[in-house]
Amino acid sequence: MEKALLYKEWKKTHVFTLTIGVIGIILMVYIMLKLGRSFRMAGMEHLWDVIVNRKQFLFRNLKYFPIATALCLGMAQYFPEVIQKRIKLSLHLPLPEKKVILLMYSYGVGILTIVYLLQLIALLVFSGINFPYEFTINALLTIAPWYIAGFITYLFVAAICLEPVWMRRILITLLAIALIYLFFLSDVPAAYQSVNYLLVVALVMVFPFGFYSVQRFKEGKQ
Amino acid sequence: MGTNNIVECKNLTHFYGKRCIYENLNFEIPQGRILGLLGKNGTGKTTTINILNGYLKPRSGECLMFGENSANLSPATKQKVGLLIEGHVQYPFMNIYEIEKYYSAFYPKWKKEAYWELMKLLKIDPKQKLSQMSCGQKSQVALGLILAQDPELLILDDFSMGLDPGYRVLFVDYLSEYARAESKTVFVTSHIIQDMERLIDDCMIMDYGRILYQQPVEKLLNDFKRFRFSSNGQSFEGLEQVMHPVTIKGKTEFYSFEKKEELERVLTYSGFKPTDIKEESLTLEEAFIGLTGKY
Amino acid sequence: MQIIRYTIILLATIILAWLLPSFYHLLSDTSGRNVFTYYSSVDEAFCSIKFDEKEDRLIRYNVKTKKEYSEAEFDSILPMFYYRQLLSDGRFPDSINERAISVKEINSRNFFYRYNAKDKNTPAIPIYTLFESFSGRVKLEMPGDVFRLKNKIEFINPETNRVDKVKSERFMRVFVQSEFQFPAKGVFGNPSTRKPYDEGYMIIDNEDQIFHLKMVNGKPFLKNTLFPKSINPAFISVQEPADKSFYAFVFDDSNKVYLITADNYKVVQIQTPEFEVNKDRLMIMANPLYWNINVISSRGKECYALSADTKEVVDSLSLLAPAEYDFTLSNILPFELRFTTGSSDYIKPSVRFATWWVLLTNLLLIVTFVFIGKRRNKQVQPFELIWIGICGIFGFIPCLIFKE
Repeated sequence: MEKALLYKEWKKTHVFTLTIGVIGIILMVYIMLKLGRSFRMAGMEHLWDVIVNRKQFLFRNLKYFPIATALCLGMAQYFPEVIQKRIKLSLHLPLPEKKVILLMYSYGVGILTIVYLLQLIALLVFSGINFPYEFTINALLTIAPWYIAGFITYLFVAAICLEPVWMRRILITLLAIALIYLFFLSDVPAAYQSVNYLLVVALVMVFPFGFYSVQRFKEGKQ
Repeated sequence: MGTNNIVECKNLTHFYGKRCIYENLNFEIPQGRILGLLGKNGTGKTTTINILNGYLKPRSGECLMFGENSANLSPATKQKVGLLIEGHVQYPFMNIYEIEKYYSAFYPKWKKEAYWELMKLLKIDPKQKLSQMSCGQKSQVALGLILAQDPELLILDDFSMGLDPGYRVLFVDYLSEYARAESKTVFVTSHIIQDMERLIDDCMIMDYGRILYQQPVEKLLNDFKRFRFSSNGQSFEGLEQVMHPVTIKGKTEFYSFEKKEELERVLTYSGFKPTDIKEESLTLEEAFIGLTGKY
Repeated sequence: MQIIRYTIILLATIILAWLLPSFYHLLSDTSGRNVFTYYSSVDEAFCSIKFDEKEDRLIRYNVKTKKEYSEAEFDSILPMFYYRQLLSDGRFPDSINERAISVKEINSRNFFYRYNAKDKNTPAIPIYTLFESFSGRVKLEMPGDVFRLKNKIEFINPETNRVDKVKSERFMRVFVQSEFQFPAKGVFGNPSTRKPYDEGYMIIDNEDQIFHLKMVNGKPFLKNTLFPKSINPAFISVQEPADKSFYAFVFDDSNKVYLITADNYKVVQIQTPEFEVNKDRLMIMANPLYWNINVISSRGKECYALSADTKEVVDSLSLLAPAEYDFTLSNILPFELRFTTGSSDYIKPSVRFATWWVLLTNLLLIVTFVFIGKRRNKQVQPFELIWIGICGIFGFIPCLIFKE
């Protein structure tokens, strides 16, 4: 039954999912090609100097990718479910309702994790080859909030789509925008290094919002 | 729970804001019966279906399905319930193979043949997605899935919506044959009452805020008649037996549960001269209009 | 499910505690006063420029005597600051108050130094560039490698991303010989080619000793500066002044500022007005006679004038605005959550609380909340009342809009 539900999610979103994956890879390749060009044009020593002393972040093109993909995937996954209240079909399946939502979540979070991991691995390999580990650590600390924001965006999209009342949807959207904005307050690399754990706490807090929306849907809130 | 009631609704009360949908609604569906819920738009048909499936919490009262509160149905109970959502909603991104494969995983008693038998009648390309099908074709897919699920209780919300006459008849034929053969319990709503007559055993007619009538269809059609006579334009006020009288150019038409003889007596007593009173048998649709009024 | 609703309320409260005050600041903030001041070696008093809005002109004046000057007069009152103007006008004096001066002396002993708390509180990649201090060239050149220094020193070649073992070992031997206590706690330098020469790095070792590292003719130079044990260095700002008279400013953990001089690393305390190393800005405008020490905080500016030779305070000036009382921030908004500050590049939450009077506002909000609940026929939960009692308006809004 669980497999079947994941199969449905895949049938629903595979075009989006594959597109997101391909865009993620293209973006990574683009960044590497661009950096390769700077290596040749400016020289490694200059580049290292710019990274350390002028706080240039080489992977800044990744900044909005996680939240953009999460937004697209979340919409692709949950928007069809709310048109004609199709979510009723899933909730009517002979599975506990929480489990149905959890399975839908795990599909989305799983896809995002795969796409993000692909990028992360590419970044680690690329950075590991070309730069000392200090740079790599700095890069990871810099991108961590962006990727956590990606997961939070996904969870919010789910909660907002599943929420039955329009006014509440708007309020949760505002809350989501404000919270996600909090992850993009600084352009300084690794500025969030001492609070990344707080961002994870925020992620944990947002996680059950979708269940609450479903509960409200089930109560027929209007 | 009653002896063999599959569905029991007790003291249901619901409001949308301040608008009362109904108060203290009680009804039950015994095993093996086909109950049709009839009502004009906005009388709470879908509300009732939603409460029954746990998609709406009533202000008070409760619904039991197989003895379980409908707000928290267990997976085992949901397995026994086949649900057709208003508009034959299914997954538009699947084709008939994929959707059959998908649902078969959830129901151990899955009857593939029932589904494919119905699909054979459709002139569709096997790779065609549901989104590219006509409303009628989609309704057959949705019905096929419910039949294959082999549930003990079928809940169908406005199955006739958007269907051509051909598909409506096909749907009704298939459903009624299936339900009677397998002794299934069915709860169905429709705004096209014509279709219901050939399908349902019992009818429940709703008006704004209450239930008007809940009896077997046969009894309704036996008891409830239309009468015509020439009147002199007097008022029918106070005559409870006379329902929805309409007088056009001296010809009066009304509905009643009373026998012709009794009506003649009552009308004469009230000053009418119902000498030419005629009794007419009704179809379910006509009876529905008689009970709820044309407006 | 109730717990999820509380979580939403909690999150919304945090967001509001951050956004509402910041919107309020956007509406109400006025710029802090940061006027130009300079100690006149002629008048032997602070001089300043202010903008007169009535007459729509700049007023240049002596702060002590209130005497006003024309623009040309002002140049000669502050010869150390306007010496280029005086020179081009042919008005540059031979001596000031009987002390002979020359442009050459000014050129070598004048310097500007700016410290911003952000210099210290910024995430940095611990990779450093060590220049050749005697390159023999006019311009400093990139050395072709960088180093890391934690438990050992390692030089890395950027072109290959490999450790230069030979050079690393050569330097490591010197560290061991000098009894440097690993791991290094802080490495401070001024890695830029836009300076006349390179003094390398000041390194704090594990025992809070400060070592001076530089590269001379490709060879390591490492020296223990014998920095006083009584001072706990927190931040070092390495400088390369034109007269080569000192190496660095040292900020300790009790907000004091010291100078490591080129005179055998002798340490001199630089007197400053009240200064918080993690919050304020410090600006030093030095000339051969006086050092202007300016501390700029959110409340304004305070200045000392030090004798350039003895570093003794000769005069002081305070331009601090009285702490501003803001009704909304003190009585309406119960607290203020911030994630960014002007004194740090790090994102970090910090809270500023209002006065106790805010509890009165909170109480009013509780009453309002109960009243609204009654009117809408909704049950009021103890959690909501407590939450509004604590978080005031920030709790009131989410409790109201996320009501079931």
